[in-house]
Amino acid sequence: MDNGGRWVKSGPVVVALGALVLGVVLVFLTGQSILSPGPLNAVASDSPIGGVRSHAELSCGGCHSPPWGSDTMEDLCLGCHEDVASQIVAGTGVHGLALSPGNTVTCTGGCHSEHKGATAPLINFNHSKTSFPLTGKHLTVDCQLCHSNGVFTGTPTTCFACHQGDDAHGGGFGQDCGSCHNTGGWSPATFDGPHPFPMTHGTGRASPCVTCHPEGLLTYSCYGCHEHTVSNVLREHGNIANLDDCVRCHPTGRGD
Amino acid sequence: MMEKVRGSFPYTLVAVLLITAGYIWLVVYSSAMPVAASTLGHAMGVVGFAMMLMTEVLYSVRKRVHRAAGWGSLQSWLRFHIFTGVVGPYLVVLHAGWRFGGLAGFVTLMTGVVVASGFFGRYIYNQVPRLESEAELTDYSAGAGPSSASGEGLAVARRTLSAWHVVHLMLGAALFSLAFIHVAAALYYVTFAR
Repeated sequence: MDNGGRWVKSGPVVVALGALVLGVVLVFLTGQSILSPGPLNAVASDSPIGGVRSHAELSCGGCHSPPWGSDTMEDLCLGCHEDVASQIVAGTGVHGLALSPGNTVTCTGGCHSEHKGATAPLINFNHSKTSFPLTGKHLTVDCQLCHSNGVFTGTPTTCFACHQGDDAHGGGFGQDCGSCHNTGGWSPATFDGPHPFPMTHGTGRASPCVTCHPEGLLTYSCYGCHEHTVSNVLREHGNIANLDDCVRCHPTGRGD
Repeated sequence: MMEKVRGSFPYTLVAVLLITAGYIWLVVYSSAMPVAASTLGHAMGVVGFAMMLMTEVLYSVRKRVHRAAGWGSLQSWLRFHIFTGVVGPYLVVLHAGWRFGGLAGFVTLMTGVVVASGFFGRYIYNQVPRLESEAELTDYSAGAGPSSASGEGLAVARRTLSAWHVVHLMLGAALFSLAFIHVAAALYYVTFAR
Protein backbone atom coordinates (compact mmCIF):
# COMPACT_ATOMS: atom_id res chain seq x y z
CA MET A 1 0.00 0.00 0.00
CA ASP A 2 1.25 3.48 -0.78
CA ASN A 3 1.89 5.03 2.62
CA GLY A 4 2.12 8.59 1.34
CA GLY A 5 5.82 8.76 2.05
CA ARG A 6 7.08 11.43 4.34
CA TRP A 7 3.67 12.83 5.11
CA VAL A 8 2.73 9.63 6.91
CA LYS A 9 5.96 9.59 8.85
CA SER A 10 6.14 13.17 10.04
CA GLY A 11 2.64 14.57 9.49
CA PRO A 12 0.89 12.91 12.44
CA VAL A 13 3.72 13.79 14.80
CA VAL A 14 3.59 17.43 13.78
CA VAL A 15 -0.18 17.48 14.09
CA ALA A 16 -0.07 15.76 17.47
CA LEU A 17 2.42 18.23 18.87
CA GLY A 18 0.57 21.14 17.36
CA ALA A 19 -2.76 20.01 18.79
CA LEU A 20 -1.15 19.50 22.17
CA VAL A 21 0.32 22.98 22.22
CA LEU A 22 -2.89 24.53 20.93
CA GLY A 23 -4.94 22.69 23.53
CA VAL A 24 -2.72 23.75 26.41
CA VAL A 25 -2.70 27.35 25.19
CA LEU A 26 -6.49 27.35 25.00
CA VAL A 27 -6.71 25.96 28.53
CA PHE A 28 -4.71 28.85 29.91
CA LEU A 29 -6.26 31.50 27.68
CA THR A 30 -9.74 30.53 28.83
CA GLY A 31 -8.76 30.37 32.49
CA GLN A 32 -9.28 26.61 32.40
CA SER A 33 -12.96 27.10 31.67
CA ILE A 34 -12.85 24.77 28.66
CA LEU A 35 -12.15 21.99 31.14
CA SER A 36 -15.35 22.72 33.08
CA PRO A 37 -17.97 19.92 32.99
CA GLY A 38 -20.82 22.43 33.13
CA PRO A 39 -21.82 25.98 34.07
CA LEU A 40 -21.52 27.05 37.67
CA ASN A 41 -24.44 28.33 39.72
CA ALA A 42 -24.79 32.05 39.05
CA VAL A 43 -27.73 32.90 41.30
CA ALA A 44 -26.59 36.00 43.16
CA SER A 45 -26.89 36.00 46.93
CA ASP A 46 -28.08 39.10 48.77
CA SER A 47 -24.77 39.56 50.48
CA PRO A 48 -21.34 38.48 49.28
CA ILE A 49 -19.77 35.34 50.71
CA GLY A 50 -16.02 35.07 50.45
CA GLY A 51 -16.03 38.22 48.34
CA VAL A 52 -18.39 36.90 45.64
CA ARG A 53 -22.13 36.64 45.23
CA SER A 54 -22.18 33.34 43.33
CA HIS A 55 -19.89 30.45 42.51
CA ALA A 56 -19.78 31.59 38.90
CA GLU A 57 -17.58 34.50 39.95
CA LEU A 58 -14.90 32.16 41.26
CA SER A 59 -11.92 30.82 39.38
CA CYS A 60 -11.34 27.07 39.23
CA GLY A 61 -8.77 27.37 42.00
CA GLY A 62 -11.38 28.85 44.29
CA CYS A 63 -12.78 25.36 44.88
CA HIS A 64 -10.30 22.97 43.28
CA SER A 65 -6.99 22.65 45.06
CA PRO A 66 -4.08 20.82 43.38
CA PRO A 67 -3.68 17.14 44.29
CA TRP A 68 -0.31 17.98 45.78
CA GLY A 69 -1.71 20.86 47.83
CA SER A 70 -2.46 20.83 51.53
CA ASP A 71 -6.07 22.03 51.33
CA THR A 72 -8.96 19.73 50.57
CA MET A 73 -12.00 20.95 48.69
CA GLU A 74 -13.88 21.07 52.00
CA ASP A 75 -11.21 23.40 53.38
CA LEU A 76 -11.81 25.72 50.45
CA CYS A 77 -15.61 25.49 50.80
CA LEU A 78 -15.50 26.28 54.50
CA GLY A 79 -12.92 28.99 53.94
CA CYS A 80 -15.68 31.07 52.37
CA HIS A 81 -18.71 29.56 54.11
CA GLU A 82 -17.50 30.46 57.58
CA ASP A 83 -20.98 30.17 59.08
CA VAL A 84 -21.09 26.52 58.08
CA ALA A 85 -17.61 26.00 59.51
CA SER A 86 -18.78 27.52 62.80
CA GLN A 87 -21.79 25.22 62.89
CA ILE A 88 -19.64 22.16 62.40
CA VAL A 89 -17.20 23.22 65.09
CA ALA A 90 -19.96 24.03 67.57
CA GLY A 91 -22.06 21.00 66.68
CA THR A 92 -25.11 23.19 66.14
CA GLY A 93 -27.26 24.24 63.22
CA VAL A 94 -28.01 22.40 60.04
CA HIS A 95 -24.47 21.20 59.40
CA GLY A 96 -23.32 20.84 62.97
CA LEU A 97 -26.16 18.48 63.81
CA ALA A 98 -26.22 16.62 60.51
CA LEU A 99 -22.49 15.97 60.47
CA SER A 100 -21.17 14.07 63.45
CA PRO A 101 -17.61 14.77 64.60
CA GLY A 102 -15.06 13.00 62.47
CA ASN A 103 -17.48 12.33 59.67
CA THR A 104 -16.02 11.71 56.26
CA VAL A 105 -18.91 13.04 54.21
CA THR A 106 -17.66 15.67 51.81
CA CYS A 107 -19.61 18.71 50.73
CA THR A 108 -20.04 17.45 47.19
CA GLY A 109 -20.29 13.79 48.12
CA GLY A 110 -23.27 14.18 50.38
CA CYS A 111 -25.71 16.96 49.81
CA HIS A 112 -24.29 19.55 47.44
CA SER A 113 -23.65 19.59 43.71
CA GLU A 114 -22.24 22.10 41.24
CA HIS A 115 -21.54 22.50 37.54
CA LYS A 116 -25.19 21.64 36.85
CA GLY A 117 -26.15 24.99 35.36
CA ALA A 118 -26.46 28.66 36.19
CA THR A 119 -29.76 28.25 38.01
CA ALA A 120 -29.52 24.63 39.12
CA PRO A 121 -30.00 24.04 42.87
CA LEU A 122 -26.89 23.54 44.93
CA ILE A 123 -28.54 20.99 47.20
CA ASN A 124 -29.18 17.48 45.92
CA PHE A 125 -29.99 15.49 49.06
CA ASN A 126 -32.14 12.50 48.09
CA HIS A 127 -35.08 12.64 50.48
CA SER A 128 -36.53 9.42 49.05
CA LYS A 129 -33.94 7.56 51.07
CA THR A 130 -35.59 8.70 54.28
CA SER A 131 -38.84 7.55 55.89
CA PHE A 132 -40.58 10.63 54.46
CA PRO A 133 -40.27 10.92 50.69
CA LEU A 134 -41.06 14.42 49.48
CA THR A 135 -43.94 14.95 47.08
CA GLY A 136 -45.91 17.88 45.74
CA LYS A 137 -45.24 21.18 47.44
CA HIS A 138 -43.00 19.53 49.99
CA LEU A 139 -40.39 19.33 47.24
CA THR A 140 -39.97 23.07 46.96
CA VAL A 141 -40.12 24.36 50.53
CA ASP A 142 -37.01 25.35 52.40
CA CYS A 143 -35.50 22.59 54.53
CA GLN A 144 -35.61 24.81 57.61
CA LEU A 145 -39.42 24.98 57.59
CA CYS A 146 -39.68 21.35 58.67
CA HIS A 147 -36.25 20.85 60.18
CA SER A 148 -36.14 23.73 62.62
CA ASN A 149 -32.94 24.31 64.56
CA GLY A 150 -31.07 22.01 62.23
CA VAL A 151 -32.71 18.89 63.59
CA PHE A 152 -33.04 16.25 60.86
CA THR A 153 -33.06 12.90 62.56
CA GLY A 154 -36.34 12.18 64.32
CA THR A 155 -38.31 14.95 62.65
CA PRO A 156 -42.04 14.15 63.10
CA THR A 157 -43.72 12.89 59.96
CA THR A 158 -47.37 13.57 60.89
CA CYS A 159 -49.19 16.34 59.05
CA PHE A 160 -50.26 18.07 62.23
CA ALA A 161 -46.69 18.31 63.51
CA CYS A 162 -45.96 20.99 60.91
CA HIS A 163 -49.41 22.13 59.83
CA GLN A 164 -51.22 22.71 63.10
CA GLY A 165 -51.17 26.42 62.37
CA ASP A 166 -52.76 25.79 58.98
CA ASP A 167 -55.82 24.03 60.44
CA ALA A 168 -58.83 25.93 59.06
CA HIS A 169 -61.27 23.66 60.84
CA GLY A 170 -60.53 24.70 64.39
CA GLY A 171 -59.47 21.18 65.31
CA GLY A 172 -62.96 19.94 64.54
CA PHE A 173 -61.73 17.33 62.08
CA GLY A 174 -58.89 15.91 64.13
CA GLN A 175 -55.22 15.84 63.17
CA ASP A 176 -55.27 13.50 60.23
CA CYS A 177 -55.01 16.15 57.51
CA GLY A 178 -54.08 13.51 54.96
CA SER A 179 -57.53 11.99 55.03
CA CYS A 180 -58.77 14.87 52.87
CA HIS A 181 -55.70 16.77 51.75
CA ASN A 182 -52.56 15.90 49.78
CA THR A 183 -49.21 17.54 49.23
CA GLY A 184 -50.40 19.09 45.96
CA GLY A 185 -52.13 21.77 48.00
CA TRP A 186 -54.90 22.29 50.51
CA SER A 187 -57.38 22.65 47.69
CA PRO A 188 -58.93 20.70 46.10
CA ALA A 189 -59.56 18.37 49.00
CA THR A 190 -61.18 14.97 48.69
CA PHE A 191 -63.44 13.32 51.21
CA ASP A 192 -64.83 9.81 51.03
CA GLY A 193 -66.60 9.77 54.34
CA PRO A 194 -67.83 8.86 56.86
CA HIS A 195 -70.30 11.70 56.41
CA PRO A 196 -73.37 12.06 58.73
CA PHE A 197 -75.60 12.94 55.77
CA PRO A 198 -75.89 11.34 52.30
CA MET A 199 -73.29 13.10 50.16
CA THR A 200 -75.26 12.28 47.03
CA HIS A 201 -78.38 13.98 48.33
CA GLY A 202 -80.20 15.96 45.73
CA THR A 203 -78.37 15.21 42.50
CA GLY A 204 -77.39 11.57 43.04
CA ARG A 205 -73.75 12.64 42.86
CA ALA A 206 -71.44 14.22 45.41
CA SER A 207 -71.82 17.98 45.16
CA PRO A 208 -69.04 20.46 45.91
CA CYS A 209 -68.58 20.89 49.65
CA VAL A 210 -69.47 24.57 49.44
CA THR A 211 -73.01 23.71 48.31
CA CYS A 212 -73.97 22.56 51.81
CA HIS A 213 -71.13 24.24 53.71
CA PRO A 214 -71.11 27.82 52.39
CA GLU A 215 -69.52 29.17 55.57
CA GLY A 216 -67.03 26.45 56.38
CA LEU A 217 -67.08 22.75 57.01
CA LEU A 218 -68.11 23.01 60.65
CA THR A 219 -71.53 24.42 59.76
CA TYR A 220 -74.05 23.56 57.08
CA SER A 221 -77.08 25.01 55.45
CA CYS A 222 -79.78 23.39 53.37
CA TYR A 223 -80.83 26.75 51.95
CA GLY A 224 -78.18 26.59 49.27
CA CYS A 225 -80.36 24.53 46.92
CA HIS A 226 -83.24 26.00 44.98
CA GLU A 227 -85.91 23.81 46.60
CA HIS A 228 -84.99 24.78 50.10
CA THR A 229 -85.79 28.46 50.08
CA VAL A 230 -86.55 30.15 53.37
CA SER A 231 -90.16 30.83 52.37
CA ASN A 232 -90.79 27.22 51.29
CA VAL A 233 -89.37 25.82 54.46
CA LEU A 234 -91.33 28.27 56.62
CA ARG A 235 -94.53 27.37 54.80
CA GLU A 236 -94.08 23.66 55.54
CA HIS A 237 -92.57 24.00 58.99
CA GLY A 238 -94.47 26.91 60.47
CA ASN A 239 -94.69 25.24 63.86
CA ILE A 240 -90.98 24.65 64.27
CA ALA A 241 -88.79 27.24 65.90
CA ASN A 242 -85.31 26.18 64.82
CA LEU A 243 -85.17 25.73 61.06
CA ASP A 244 -81.36 25.78 60.77
CA ASP A 245 -80.67 22.20 61.86
CA CYS A 246 -82.59 20.30 59.22
CA VAL A 247 -80.58 17.10 59.61
CA ARG A 248 -81.86 16.71 63.15
CA CYS A 249 -85.27 15.68 61.77
CA HIS A 250 -84.22 14.67 58.26
CA PRO A 251 -81.04 12.62 58.80
CA THR A 252 -81.34 10.89 55.43
CA GLY A 253 -82.37 13.94 53.49
CA ARG A 254 -85.82 12.62 52.88
CA GLY A 255 -88.90 14.76 53.54
CA ASP A 256 -90.64 12.26 55.81
CA MET B 1 -1.21 -7.39 -1.23
CA MET B 2 -4.52 -6.52 0.26
CA GLU B 3 -7.62 -8.52 1.01
CA LYS B 4 -11.08 -7.18 1.39
CA VAL B 5 -11.71 -6.62 5.08
CA ARG B 6 -14.38 -8.84 6.42
CA GLY B 7 -14.86 -10.66 9.68
CA SER B 8 -14.79 -7.84 12.22
CA PHE B 9 -18.36 -6.73 11.56
CA PRO B 10 -20.20 -9.52 13.46
CA TYR B 11 -18.01 -9.20 16.57
CA THR B 12 -18.28 -5.43 16.51
CA LEU B 13 -22.03 -5.51 16.07
CA VAL B 14 -22.51 -8.00 18.89
CA ALA B 15 -20.31 -5.97 21.22
CA VAL B 16 -22.15 -2.73 20.42
CA LEU B 17 -25.53 -4.38 20.90
CA LEU B 18 -24.53 -5.93 24.22
CA ILE B 19 -23.14 -2.64 25.49
CA THR B 20 -26.26 -0.79 24.34
CA ALA B 21 -28.56 -3.31 26.02
CA GLY B 22 -26.63 -3.06 29.27
CA TYR B 23 -26.61 0.72 29.12
CA ILE B 24 -30.36 0.94 28.47
CA TRP B 25 -31.04 -1.49 31.32
CA LEU B 26 -28.95 0.61 33.68
CA VAL B 27 -30.65 3.85 32.65
CA VAL B 28 -34.09 2.32 33.18
CA TYR B 29 -33.05 0.69 36.47
CA SER B 30 -31.54 3.83 37.97
CA SER B 31 -33.87 6.29 36.19
CA ALA B 32 -30.84 8.37 35.31
CA MET B 33 -28.12 8.51 32.73
CA PRO B 34 -24.69 7.79 34.25
CA VAL B 35 -22.63 10.96 34.33
CA ALA B 36 -19.04 11.06 33.17
CA ALA B 37 -17.55 11.24 36.66
CA SER B 38 -19.69 8.47 38.14
CA THR B 39 -18.14 5.06 38.76
CA LEU B 40 -19.67 3.52 35.66
CA GLY B 41 -19.16 6.62 33.55
CA HIS B 42 -15.55 6.81 34.55
CA ALA B 43 -15.05 3.09 33.88
CA MET B 44 -16.52 3.43 30.39
CA GLY B 45 -14.17 6.31 29.69
CA VAL B 46 -11.13 4.39 30.86
CA VAL B 47 -11.96 1.20 28.97
CA GLY B 48 -13.06 3.09 25.88
CA PHE B 49 -9.93 5.20 25.78
CA ALA B 50 -7.74 2.14 26.37
CA MET B 51 -9.38 0.52 23.36
CA MET B 52 -8.84 3.66 21.33
CA LEU B 53 -5.15 3.63 22.30
CA MET B 54 -4.92 0.03 21.16
CA THR B 55 -6.65 1.07 17.95
CA GLU B 56 -4.09 3.73 17.19
CA VAL B 57 -0.93 1.97 18.34
CA LEU B 58 -1.16 -1.75 17.79
CA TYR B 59 -2.04 -1.85 14.10
CA SER B 60 0.57 0.75 13.25
CA VAL B 61 3.20 -1.19 15.19
CA ARG B 62 2.25 -4.42 13.46
CA LYS B 63 2.58 -2.75 10.06
CA ARG B 64 5.85 -0.96 10.65
CA VAL B 65 7.89 -2.98 13.13
CA HIS B 66 9.70 -5.81 11.39
CA ARG B 67 9.86 -7.95 14.54
CA ALA B 68 6.08 -7.81 14.77
CA ALA B 69 5.66 -9.68 11.51
CA GLY B 70 5.28 -12.93 13.41
CA TRP B 71 2.47 -11.65 15.64
CA GLY B 72 -0.31 -12.67 13.30
CA SER B 73 -1.57 -11.70 9.90
CA LEU B 74 -1.98 -8.10 8.95
CA GLN B 75 -5.60 -8.79 8.16
CA SER B 76 -6.26 -10.10 11.65
CA TRP B 77 -4.72 -7.01 13.17
CA LEU B 78 -6.76 -4.81 10.89
CA ARG B 79 -9.89 -6.59 12.04
CA PHE B 80 -8.87 -5.99 15.66
CA HIS B 81 -8.11 -2.36 14.82
CA ILE B 82 -11.62 -1.93 13.44
CA PHE B 83 -13.21 -3.70 16.41
CA THR B 84 -11.46 -1.57 19.03
CA GLY B 85 -11.89 1.47 16.79
CA VAL B 86 -15.66 1.17 16.93
CA VAL B 87 -16.32 -0.26 20.39
CA GLY B 88 -13.81 2.00 22.13
CA PRO B 89 -15.23 5.26 20.77
CA TYR B 90 -18.75 4.00 21.46
CA LEU B 91 -17.86 3.56 25.12
CA VAL B 92 -16.30 7.02 25.13
CA VAL B 93 -19.50 8.57 23.77
CA LEU B 94 -21.51 6.78 26.45
CA HIS B 95 -18.97 7.95 29.03
CA ALA B 96 -19.53 11.53 27.89
CA GLY B 97 -23.22 11.18 28.68
CA TRP B 98 -24.10 12.61 25.27
CA ARG B 99 -22.77 16.03 26.32
CA PHE B 100 -20.55 18.00 23.98
CA GLY B 101 -19.42 21.08 25.92
CA GLY B 102 -15.89 22.27 26.50
CA LEU B 103 -12.70 20.49 25.54
CA ALA B 104 -14.09 17.10 26.54
CA GLY B 105 -17.08 17.61 24.28
CA PHE B 106 -14.81 18.58 21.39
CA VAL B 107 -12.82 15.40 21.98
CA THR B 108 -16.07 13.44 21.76
CA LEU B 109 -16.90 15.10 18.45
CA MET B 110 -13.38 14.48 17.17
CA THR B 111 -13.80 10.84 18.13
CA GLY B 112 -16.86 10.66 15.93
CA VAL B 113 -14.98 12.34 13.08
CA VAL B 114 -12.09 9.89 13.28
CA VAL B 115 -14.43 6.89 13.44
CA ALA B 116 -16.36 8.23 10.44
CA SER B 117 -13.05 8.70 8.66
CA GLY B 118 -12.24 5.09 9.45
CA PHE B 119 -15.52 3.87 7.94
CA PHE B 120 -14.81 5.94 4.84
CA GLY B 121 -11.34 4.46 4.56
CA ARG B 122 -12.65 0.95 4.97
CA TYR B 123 -15.04 1.59 2.13
CA ILE B 124 -12.24 2.81 -0.15
CA TYR B 125 -10.02 -0.04 1.01
CA ASN B 126 -12.62 -2.58 -0.08
CA GLN B 127 -12.82 -0.99 -3.52
CA VAL B 128 -9.14 -1.53 -4.23
CA PRO B 129 -8.65 -5.03 -5.69
CA ARG B 130 -6.17 -7.46 -4.20
CA LEU B 131 -4.62 -8.37 -7.49
CA GLU B 132 -3.90 -6.50 -10.66
CA SER B 133 -5.75 -9.24 -12.51
CA GLU B 134 -8.98 -8.28 -10.77
CA ALA B 135 -8.53 -4.74 -12.03
CA GLU B 136 -8.44 -6.08 -15.58
CA LEU B 137 -11.92 -7.47 -15.10
CA THR B 138 -13.57 -4.40 -13.65
CA ASP B 139 -13.60 -0.80 -14.74
CA TYR B 140 -13.34 1.43 -11.66
CA SER B 141 -14.08 4.66 -13.46
CA ALA B 142 -16.89 6.58 -11.84
CA GLY B 143 -20.34 5.35 -12.85
CA ALA B 144 -19.15 2.50 -15.04
CA GLY B 145 -19.95 -1.19 -14.51
CA PRO B 146 -17.85 -4.22 -15.39
CA SER B 147 -16.40 -3.65 -18.81
CA SER B 148 -13.07 -3.63 -20.53
CA ALA B 149 -9.93 -3.41 -18.42
CA SER B 150 -8.69 0.04 -17.29
CA GLY B 151 -5.92 0.90 -14.89
CA GLU B 152 -7.01 4.52 -14.53
CA GLY B 153 -9.77 3.78 -12.01
CA LEU B 154 -7.46 1.60 -9.99
CA ALA B 155 -4.88 4.37 -9.81
CA VAL B 156 -7.52 6.85 -8.70
CA ALA B 157 -8.71 4.49 -6.00
CA ARG B 158 -5.19 3.94 -4.74
CA ARG B 159 -4.42 7.67 -4.70
CA THR B 160 -7.66 8.29 -2.82
CA LEU B 161 -6.78 5.63 -0.31
CA SER B 162 -3.32 7.10 0.13
CA ALA B 163 -4.67 10.60 0.69
CA TRP B 164 -7.33 9.33 3.04
CA HIS B 165 -4.68 7.47 5.01
CA VAL B 166 -2.71 10.67 5.61
CA VAL B 167 -5.82 12.56 6.72
CA HIS B 168 -6.96 9.70 8.96
CA LEU B 169 -3.61 9.55 10.72
CA MET B 170 -3.50 13.30 11.27
CA LEU B 171 -7.04 13.42 12.62
CA GLY B 172 -6.17 10.59 14.96
CA ALA B 173 -3.03 12.37 16.12
CA ALA B 174 -4.95 15.55 16.91
CA LEU B 175 -7.65 13.53 18.67
CA PHE B 176 -5.22 11.81 20.97
CA SER B 177 -3.35 14.96 21.88
CA LEU B 178 -6.57 16.62 22.95
CA ALA B 179 -7.75 13.44 24.65
CA PHE B 180 -4.59 13.38 26.74
CA ILE B 181 -5.26 16.92 27.90
CA HIS B 182 -8.78 15.86 28.91
CA VAL B 183 -7.48 12.79 30.75
CA ALA B 184 -4.88 14.93 32.55
CA ALA B 185 -7.60 17.37 33.60
CA ALA B 186 -9.84 14.54 34.84
CA LEU B 187 -6.98 13.12 36.88
CA TYR B 188 -6.20 16.56 38.32
CA TYR B 189 -9.74 17.66 39.15
CA VAL B 190 -11.39 14.35 40.01
CA THR B 191 -9.28 11.23 40.37
CA PHE B 192 -6.46 12.66 42.48
CA ALA B 193 -8.37 15.58 43.96
CA ARG B 194 -8.08 15.84 47.72
